Amino acid sequence: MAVIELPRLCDRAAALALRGDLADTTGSEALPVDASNVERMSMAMLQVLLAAHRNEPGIVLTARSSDFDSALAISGLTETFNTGAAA
Amino acid sequence: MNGIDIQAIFFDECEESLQAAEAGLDACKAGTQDSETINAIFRAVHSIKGGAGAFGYEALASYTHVFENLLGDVREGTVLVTSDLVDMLLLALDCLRDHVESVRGGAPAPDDEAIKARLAEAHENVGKDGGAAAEAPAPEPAAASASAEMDDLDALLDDLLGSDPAPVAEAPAEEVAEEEDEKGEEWALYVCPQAGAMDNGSEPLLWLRELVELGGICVKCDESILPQIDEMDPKQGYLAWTFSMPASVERDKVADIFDFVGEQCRVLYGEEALNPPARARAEVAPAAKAPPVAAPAATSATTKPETAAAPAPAPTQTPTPSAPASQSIRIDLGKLDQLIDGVGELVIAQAMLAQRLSNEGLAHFEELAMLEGLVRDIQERAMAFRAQPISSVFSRVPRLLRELATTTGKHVKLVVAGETTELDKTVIERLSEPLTHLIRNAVDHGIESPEDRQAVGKDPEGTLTLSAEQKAGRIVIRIGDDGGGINREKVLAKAIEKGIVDPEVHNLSDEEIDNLIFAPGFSTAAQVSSISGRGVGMDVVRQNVKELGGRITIESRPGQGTDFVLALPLTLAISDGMIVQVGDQSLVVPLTHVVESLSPAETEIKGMGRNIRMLNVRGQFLPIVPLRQLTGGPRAETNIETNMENGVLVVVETERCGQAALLVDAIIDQRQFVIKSLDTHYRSVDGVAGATILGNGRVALIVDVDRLVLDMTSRRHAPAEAA
Repeated sequence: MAVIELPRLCDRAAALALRGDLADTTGSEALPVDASNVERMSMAMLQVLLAAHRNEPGIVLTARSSDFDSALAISGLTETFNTGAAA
Repeated sequence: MNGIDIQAIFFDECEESLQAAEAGLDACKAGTQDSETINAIFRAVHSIKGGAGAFGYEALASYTHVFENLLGDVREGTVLVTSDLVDMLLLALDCLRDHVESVRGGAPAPDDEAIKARLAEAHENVGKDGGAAAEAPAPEPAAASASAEMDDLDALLDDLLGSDPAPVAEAPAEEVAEEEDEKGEEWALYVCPQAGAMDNGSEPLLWLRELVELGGICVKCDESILPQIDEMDPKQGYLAWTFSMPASVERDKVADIFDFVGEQCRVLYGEEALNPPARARAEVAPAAKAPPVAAPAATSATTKPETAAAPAPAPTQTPTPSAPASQSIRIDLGKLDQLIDGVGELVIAQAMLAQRLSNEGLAHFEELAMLEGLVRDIQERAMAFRAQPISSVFSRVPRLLRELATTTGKHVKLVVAGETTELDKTVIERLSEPLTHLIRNAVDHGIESPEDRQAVGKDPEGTLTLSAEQKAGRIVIRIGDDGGGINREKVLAKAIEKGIVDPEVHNLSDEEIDNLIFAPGFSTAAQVSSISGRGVGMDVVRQNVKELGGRITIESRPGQGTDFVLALPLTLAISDGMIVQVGDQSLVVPLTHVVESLSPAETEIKGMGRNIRMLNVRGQFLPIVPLRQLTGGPRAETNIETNMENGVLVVVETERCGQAALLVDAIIDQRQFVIKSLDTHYRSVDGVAGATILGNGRVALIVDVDRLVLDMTSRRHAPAEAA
């Protein structure tokens, strides 16, 4: 299965693009998402990932950068992505 | 409120922060180096840094980051507060001001490499010389803790700016929270970005980072209204957070984070934060499907943190249950001007009512007097809205003196008095340029070199005194130096050389010689200097002051110094004037021009040619200017003798033509008048400065005294020369 690689700059434009990709996705397995290159996160991207995480088939984070982890931590979503469908 | 509004607020805040930082550094230089002062400087720079990051002004954010590092060291007490350090911080602040101005004006960022290197070097040297702060004040525990937090924020800012990324340390935040937990005084904070919170480029994650840096812990992320992915608009805000904040963090500090956000983020404190209003998806995205109203994010004070990584205590009720009441609000200047206009109309309407009642024989009754008092009161209060302390102009002077010290080698001590004196915002804005030039002039030409000062027994360091006071309905600003005073011989010689003064004239008074420096093209400098010879002559300074409805005078004492005294109106919207009658029209002569009025004897009038008449006022001959020429009265020129017999002469001071005598039929009244622009309502008319509405409802023209006298005297000279 193709891995969705998040860009270095996860701003609103990137979030809009990812939302389109994820909305068109079909299948039964959680989509692997690679967040290892992320240097800057935005709330828009967090919301898209969170929505994708809650919806079927969900997403799974295969790799995460420290910046990405940092964004999850400050927004109280670390545990959300550590458990459930994403796990 | 849109993004431009928010940016405008940011720049206003920057100005306030810069002033606060400068005041703090000045206090440090004067010996006040307590933790409160140091913290105030730190907060000011930090505030600018926060806004710069939020708006994506990377050069500004990067610079403030370096600046803040060193200030953090000072707060911690690991860097000594010495005179050299304060000087360096002042230079750094100057550069910060340049950064802000460049961002505001869309100009390239200033060259900050040198000062950044100095700041960085000082920061990196911490501890290398064993540097405990023997002289610096011991920092408050909270300050030290906050400083550590700020180091984390620095890392976060790097993170945000894409350089040297460092993870957000949850542990320090935990530690802080645990410490506060022991005290059991943490408080709750609710942050809910509204639908358009990100429309202007704001990034809510940045706000959360700042909260974490303050020791806050996110105990709940409310994702209850997050829609399906195919229904969502990522630009809308769907999430809300509840944070537990340490007791040591003041609400004002948290409120600072959301200063630039405006109404686009709901922020609740204390008990309210624990019981936020229900959120509905419809309020976020009207186009989305209408879902059932979500339950409150937190329903009681026993909300548990949802993150295992942050076992923070449940937020408890804060000592003060509601958010702090704001002591001020920001109002768009345009709205304020509309209010002022309305008050002006009220003043006119009241005057018209009084006139009407007077005509009906009902002038004296209690209710009318009460109305007059109320209108006057409202008018004064409304004008006070536009009033600003002159400190906003004075505060820029220390930097100017520092720059001048570098270029001239003259170190000048600044003494300021009356900086809380208030005057109209427009006057303040237009005062900056002439004031700057006067100060440059005082340092460049007025104050002697240190060697010369020592030679005459003076302190090698000069003194510049700035003072402001309200006097007789005007603001009097005094710019004084303790230099050598005006060299009148040199000034007179230069004026003769430049053809400004007739070489045959030898009886000029000291005052007249002093005033020669205001003549166009006058300069005693042997060569144009970069200090005061920047193309803005003293004549332009005088013109600027004149355009503000003010007057500038010189008081110079040889060997002791020179004072420039500016008398300015409190406001440009309402002024005092003399209402005069000319034919069937009423005109207003601004009182700032009026010297005296008199009914001359026949012997005091002398003729020059057919049309020119001169008035002998105590041996000085002044040209007589009949105002009837302005009103276009019949046979204005030839009626001058007839008019003179029954008329009154108003002696006025003009900018370029000295004194003149305006011939009017009668003086009607002296009162305040509301200035209306003729350009806006009609068109520009030579000799007319504007218009006002009198109590009888009629429009009266406001005489442009300078222009009128200049036009009439030059017109008269032309045919005489031709003849």
